[in-house]
Amino acid sequence: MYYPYLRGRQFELIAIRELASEEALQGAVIPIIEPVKEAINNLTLAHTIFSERAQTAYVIANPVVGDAQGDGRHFLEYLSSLELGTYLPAFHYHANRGYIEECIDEFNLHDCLLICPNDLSVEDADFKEVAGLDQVSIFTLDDPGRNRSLNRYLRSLGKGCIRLDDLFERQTRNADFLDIPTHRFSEEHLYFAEDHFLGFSDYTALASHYSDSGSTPRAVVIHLTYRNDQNQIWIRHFTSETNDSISNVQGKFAEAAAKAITYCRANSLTNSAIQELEHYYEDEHYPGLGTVKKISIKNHILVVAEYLRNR
Amino acid sequence: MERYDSSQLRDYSSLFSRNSVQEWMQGDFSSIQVKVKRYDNTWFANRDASYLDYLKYVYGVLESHYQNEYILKNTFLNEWLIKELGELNSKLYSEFRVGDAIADLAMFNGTSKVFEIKTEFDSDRRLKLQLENYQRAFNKVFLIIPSSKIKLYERYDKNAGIILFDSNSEDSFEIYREARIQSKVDPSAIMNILHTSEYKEIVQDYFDNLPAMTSFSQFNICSSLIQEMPNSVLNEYFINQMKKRGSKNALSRRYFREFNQICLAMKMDEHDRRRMLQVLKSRIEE
Repeated sequence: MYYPYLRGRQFELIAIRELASEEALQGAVIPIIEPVKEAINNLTLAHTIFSERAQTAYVIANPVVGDAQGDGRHFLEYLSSLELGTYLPAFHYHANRGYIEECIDEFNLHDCLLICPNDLSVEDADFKEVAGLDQVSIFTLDDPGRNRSLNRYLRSLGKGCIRLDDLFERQTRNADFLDIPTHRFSEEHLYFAEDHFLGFSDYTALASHYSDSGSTPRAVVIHLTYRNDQNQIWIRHFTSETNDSISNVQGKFAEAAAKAITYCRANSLTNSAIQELEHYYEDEHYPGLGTVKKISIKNHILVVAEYLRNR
Repeated sequence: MERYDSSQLRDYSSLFSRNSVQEWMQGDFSSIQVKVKRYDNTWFANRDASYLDYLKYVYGVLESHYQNEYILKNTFLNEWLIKELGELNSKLYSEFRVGDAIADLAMFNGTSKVFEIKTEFDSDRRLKLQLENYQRAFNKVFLIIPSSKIKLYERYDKNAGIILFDSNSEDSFEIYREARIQSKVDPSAIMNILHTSEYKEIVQDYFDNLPAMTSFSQFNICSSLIQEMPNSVLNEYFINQMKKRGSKNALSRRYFREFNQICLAMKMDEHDRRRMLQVLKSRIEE
């Protein structure tokens, strides 16, 4: 199972909503959503589709980034107002045993996901208490190779373990992607089961770094992942060429889209995200940078899901 | 006169940074509480003191001892630009992007003026590039510099005016050299400043229609048309568009003048300004 880790922003939620609508996730993908704003409108829109399509997702109760960060109860109150089973609770663990235990009791939670940083010590008695709770059934562990003892300890509990890898290499400026050739992105879908993980997680084709301030970029980049003939996932950064000022973002999108479409056609790559990009390109319509991000997310999840469903 | 350590002054100056303002606007006063605790602990005992009072006090200290960009910009706003702003149909911007540069202040009324501030703490490394960019789009370009730095800066572009800043003199700002008026603007520089809706509106208004175009081709088509416009007409359209952009400046000549530059930098309207001041009127708590 693939557990894409997404910040609960508008276009991230639209991406998974659309994928759930087209039945592209079910049985292969369970998103982990970290809300970044208190407003729950977009979470609710996604919930409606998910619930109609029998798709589940984890929602983090205590985000560590964004306007709503902190060990709060806001999102648990929200989850408790919904029908059971579609949104499942998740917690970041950061020396907050008391908070997690209180929330589990107060909201009568079960099947919780615990997100574990890799600097945790297996000697941490509070962590062991939380990890051992019956109501905690699954963990994610950042880059498990960096904390083998924690990895081994979590495995010994006989619960589900997901590896979370930070794969996307952020650049200071978008224009820097012009010089980056296509490169290997992920192989976890090939080996997670053999390595006895229940699943694997990443930040899709986005950086793990969170920033809520954005400015008009000098370059437009469309990040597309694809499977090569050994089934490894590679990534290409289709980048605009006219990057000398911030003006004409539409023209820059046209340049990046032309490169992406040419490559996809030459290599027979297609899915609903690539088709959407083709429509914008053929209609000479600039859909906005949020949609460009949505296409990257959808494409990556589709690439992974297609492999998992057909293996 | 009381003496202050330079690290304390630097520390104080962070209270007027964008991040701090965003925090207090959310009701989070921790950045102010840290400074009170570190330097001005007695303020906690004063039951009548608000965060607003404390920030005004810190501003006073900085004004007398640490002329950083915030203080310089705010003083220039209060002593110079705000008079012009009040009298005419004008618009003022802080951090205004022009090509490869970001101008400290830009003002649009009958003409376009841009101001680049170099404090004691700034280098002149990017100045040549900045001035080249400004000259392409603005009618008047000014440099604001400390009196002590005149030798360094007067050799730059002779068309740029120079305004000297001297905090010890009664009139803090003095014109050293008037700016030479550039009546000709570069249409491609103007295109790079205009937003899509702005350049479309100019084309629509001047040519009485918008040609058929897609979102991929609109920039190039409008750019060619804008090149055909008489330069003085384009300049006028540009100034009018900049005067229309965003909300009306919320600055006050009389009240809470310490916060004018914050309002400008954060693009606050009257409502935002009132809300910020209201939030800051909360009593200081430990």
